[in-house]
Amino acid sequence: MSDAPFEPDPLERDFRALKAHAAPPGDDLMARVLADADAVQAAAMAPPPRAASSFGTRFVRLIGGWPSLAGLATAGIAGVWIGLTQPAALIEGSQALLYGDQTMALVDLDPGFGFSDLDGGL
Amino acid sequence: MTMPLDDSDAAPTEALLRLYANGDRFASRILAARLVPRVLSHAERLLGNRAEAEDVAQEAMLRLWKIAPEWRTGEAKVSTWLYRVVANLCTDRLRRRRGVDLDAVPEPEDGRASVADVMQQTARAEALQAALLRLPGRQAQAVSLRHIEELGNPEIAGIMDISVEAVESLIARGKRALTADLARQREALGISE
Repeated sequence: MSDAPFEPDPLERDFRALKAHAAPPGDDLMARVLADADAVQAAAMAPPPRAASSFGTRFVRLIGGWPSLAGLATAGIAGVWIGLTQPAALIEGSQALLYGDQTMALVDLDPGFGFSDLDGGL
Repeated sequence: MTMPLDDSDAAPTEALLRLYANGDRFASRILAARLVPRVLSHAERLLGNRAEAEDVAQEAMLRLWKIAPEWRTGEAKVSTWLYRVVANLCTDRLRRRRGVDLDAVPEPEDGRASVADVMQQTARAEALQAALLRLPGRQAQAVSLRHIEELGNPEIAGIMDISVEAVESLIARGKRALTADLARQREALGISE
């Protein structure tokens, strides 16, 4: 490897002359470079632009955000499912209530509670 | 422009680049003061044209500003990366220049009558610059990095993406060609040995 300095020769003097001859960067170049630096830095540090809010976005915000929308969707799906499958226990219960011949009575276990005061009691 | 250079001169370039990426404006001032002279000098050696070298220096620094947030410390030296960018930008410009006007390469100022008035130092610098521009691009790059920018051969090998042995070979061939070229110029320009 030839990292060691070369012996002084005319070429070495030429290299030294060329180094000494190099003019430093001018103010104009430094100003351009720093303007670039500031512009790139400002762009990198700026928050990302917010997308324009659509009707959907505003609706979601109106009802309380995405958690509310998820709850609403779950309730809707559950309603559709109940309507389609008609669970037997629910049908039996409601049919018995509406069309059955059983009678139901409310028993006032605690007269002091107040039922007895309504329309002469039950 | 007065550059505020104090103790921050000692800060590693990679650390300054990270500071810049984190929004520190002062870091870019120190980086520019530290790197632009080297970048400009190297570009000027390869292109032989001050205005073009300034454009290359600005473009190379712009690429550095842009890559700063993604810079991975320890992977490469900033200066090595920057010299590589400068070399690529200069190569692009030299390719565009080639075939259009080969005579555009600046020659040492002609005029034997005025040689006596020109300082020997300036004459030497201009003669060497012209001779460098007549070298094959890779040789000129290697010689400039070694003898003008004073980098070690391993770093030059990293910049040029070749082996250290290839760097040594390029420098040796480049210097032989320069010596022969300058000997002719010295005779013509009356520059003393």
